[in-house]
Amino acid sequence: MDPTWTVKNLKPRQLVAIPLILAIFFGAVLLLRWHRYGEPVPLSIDFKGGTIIFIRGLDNAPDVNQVEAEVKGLLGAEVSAKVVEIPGLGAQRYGLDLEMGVVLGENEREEVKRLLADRFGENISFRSTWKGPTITGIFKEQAWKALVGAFIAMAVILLIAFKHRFTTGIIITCVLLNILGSLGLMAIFGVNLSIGSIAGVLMIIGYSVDTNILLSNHVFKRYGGEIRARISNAMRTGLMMGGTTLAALGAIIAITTAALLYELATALSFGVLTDLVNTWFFNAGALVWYSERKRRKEYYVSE
Amino acid sequence: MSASREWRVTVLALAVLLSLALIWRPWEGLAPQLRGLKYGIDIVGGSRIRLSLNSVHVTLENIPSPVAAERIEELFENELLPVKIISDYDPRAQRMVLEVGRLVTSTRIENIIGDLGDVERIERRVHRETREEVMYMLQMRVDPYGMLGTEFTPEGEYFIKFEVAGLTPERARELLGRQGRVEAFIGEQLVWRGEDLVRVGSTRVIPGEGGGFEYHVPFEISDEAAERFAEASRGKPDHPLAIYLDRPEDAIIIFRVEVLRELQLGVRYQEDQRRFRFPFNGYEYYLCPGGRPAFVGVEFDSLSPAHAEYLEEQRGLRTRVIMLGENGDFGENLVDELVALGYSIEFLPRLKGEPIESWLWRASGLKSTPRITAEIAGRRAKEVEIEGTRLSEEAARLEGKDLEMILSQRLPVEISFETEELIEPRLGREFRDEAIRAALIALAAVAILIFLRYRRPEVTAAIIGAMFSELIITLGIASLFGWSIGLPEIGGLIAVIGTGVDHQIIITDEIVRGGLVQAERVSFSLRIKRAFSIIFAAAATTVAAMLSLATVGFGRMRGFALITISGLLVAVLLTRPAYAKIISSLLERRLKPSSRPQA
Repeated sequence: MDPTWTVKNLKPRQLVAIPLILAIFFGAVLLLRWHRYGEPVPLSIDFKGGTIIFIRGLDNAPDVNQVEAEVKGLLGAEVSAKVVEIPGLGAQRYGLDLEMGVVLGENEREEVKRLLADRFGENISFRSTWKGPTITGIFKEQAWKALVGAFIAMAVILLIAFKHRFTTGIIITCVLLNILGSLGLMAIFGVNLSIGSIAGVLMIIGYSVDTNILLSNHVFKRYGGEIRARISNAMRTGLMMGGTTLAALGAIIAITTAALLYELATALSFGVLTDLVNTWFFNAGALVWYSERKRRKEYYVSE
Repeated sequence: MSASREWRVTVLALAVLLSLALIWRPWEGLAPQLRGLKYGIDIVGGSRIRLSLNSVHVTLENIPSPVAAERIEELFENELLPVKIISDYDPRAQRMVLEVGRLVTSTRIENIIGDLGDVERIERRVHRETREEVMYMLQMRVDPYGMLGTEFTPEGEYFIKFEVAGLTPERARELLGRQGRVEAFIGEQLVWRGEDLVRVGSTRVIPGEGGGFEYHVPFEISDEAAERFAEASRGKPDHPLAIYLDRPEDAIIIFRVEVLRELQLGVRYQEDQRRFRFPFNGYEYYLCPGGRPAFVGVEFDSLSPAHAEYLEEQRGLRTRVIMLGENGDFGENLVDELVALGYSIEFLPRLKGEPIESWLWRASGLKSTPRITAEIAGRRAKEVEIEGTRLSEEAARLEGKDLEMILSQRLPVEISFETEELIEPRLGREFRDEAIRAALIALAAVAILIFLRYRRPEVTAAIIGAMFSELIITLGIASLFGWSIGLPEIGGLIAVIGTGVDHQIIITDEIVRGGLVQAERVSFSLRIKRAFSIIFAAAATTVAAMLSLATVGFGRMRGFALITISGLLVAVLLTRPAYAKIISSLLERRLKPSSRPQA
């Protein structure tokens, strides 16, 4: 089975259309989510502010819905609870992670502890993590600026390094589509946008440029053979690259218990996945279209 | 191959060996441990707390005279608002800038100063010196001996980030937010506490008997407290008054039984009551009153059944365990068991040359045990002193001053807590296992994919070898620069490995393709050059993206950015040139003579 048959056989219009349709789909998902929840992507505590209370030392797995309802009743705020299993010597112990969007004052924290102690017994331990609104507002601003700044820097580097405006334009579009796809997948799969996953998204900017330049280089070099064959070859390399990166990241996602690594690896993986589609459909299709329009011209990629 | 071709491979090999040496540090010991790597708070566990300093800078104008300016200051102080002059009263402009250590509104200020001036501007700001002063005071409060490895970092306009390994956020917040909690006991009875303090005097330093210098910090207690003292001390001349500072009354202190051998004459550990008995002038005092904190003696890795039962039943009543020593002094099983019971663990290492008794005192918060003289016993003594001894006069003065500050406790600025993060400790078998498992699976998956594509074991080996080299050299760089490895840094290593292999693939494909497709006969060196042109442009973009990342979260992911950029540089400058040489020599044997590479 030839994984590159799409590039060899589909019309440029079809090739370009697929990622664009996906992009519109992702865009819709993000907009819908924004409209419904007030945030296009699920935000972690880094950007949203709020409190997480970690309860440990439970002997039995608790009833999540009941706990949520009780705490919500007490605080009047939305609460989401998650059960955690803790390996230890002897019996299996459980824990509960309670997440809420508000920052609790000392008294409120005490009240929640009281409530939970009454419910689960005195022998449990509490820890809490919280972030106030001032700092999360600042973080959001920083993340936004970093994303925009990196994007602009990338555009500038590309424009300086490559004289071929068409290709540069396509690459920049691809990066945009990748960011959109990555965020869209995060929204669909419920992966939090945190400082960790922002790192992943920023890495995607570098990674996409990688794969897209690979493609353009192959197309514009003076190798013989028809353009689709050249792209097909490049695609094999590209698929291999994507595959190995996904394999490495997949191992991390499957095994890690650290939220930061999970969010980072997932954001990167989503980016790699959408990059595969955007590079080898959108970018490829655009190049096929372009070369079929201007048959015989040769362009060099400047060093 | 000629010598000029091989130098890149040699350089790579040398770099790998050098990095291995940096990480392993065989000169410090031959056991295979990663001695050269420092672990950050993400691995060791601890707390990160962000404090915001709530002060404003007020520009006052239309102040008629220097006398009025002074009066303004007084008026603020009467309101119990800490105030500091940022820019002195300028008689010509009739202006002055003050820093007020609370978030006050201009309305309130105008109320206070009346017609002595007008508020021209008010902005939320903190002066650099003020922030440094607060950082110092908090440092003294939280980690006076510097043993906990606390870090205070200014962030942004008015934040202080506080990080400490090995403490829970609640505990860290206690240390930061509360006053030094002073308590005085006679026997089991609490006689007076911090709230009873009326005034703190100035430290006095005098030469001590038997060498060293004594510091004395005098203070005054309230009438009611003095009354309690009189009753408690009636008929008890020559008994000790045990003065505690921040007694960890919600803790259980765990020590290795070996330390008992070092106890001085008369000091005894009473196992059934879990306390220490200290003799005093024919009388005695116990560490600690009410068994809070309690002391439990253990072997390296196990608890006696009686102690185990005690720890089990104290769950929920006591929240934390203070282990006398360092992480390596106690067995993993013991620590795991304590964690599974729900206690939070802190380590209190011994200071250099510290006697056992001093260590026990420090752990329990006991500061001094002045003798209740015959004149004071049964009297309402309002003036009290805490004293201690240090080797040098300077050290004595410093400790006295710190104590003075803790007791009087006035920060120049109101602080509030903006964020609090618990970082679960990961150091231990679980995390190590997790990391190794993930690395092996990733490696296996990548190796399988590569083999399926190229069908040549030597190519697979070369690529995996290149991946390893990049990883080791990047770690070597981290060791060289003393970067502490935390979760962001590990994320960076993952990114380096995950994307590093990509470029090996590009190069391999570039070189392999001679012979697979009707290609023009392009020399190897040109092919390699083209592979690099891709890499350089992408590298520049990644560096730019990482530099942007380093600004987010006040540098939260800076480690990730540094590692990623280092890995990239290592790849571009070291591994890839070497890899290109290796792979081209591996593959050239299989190619037709007409494609033999030019030098």
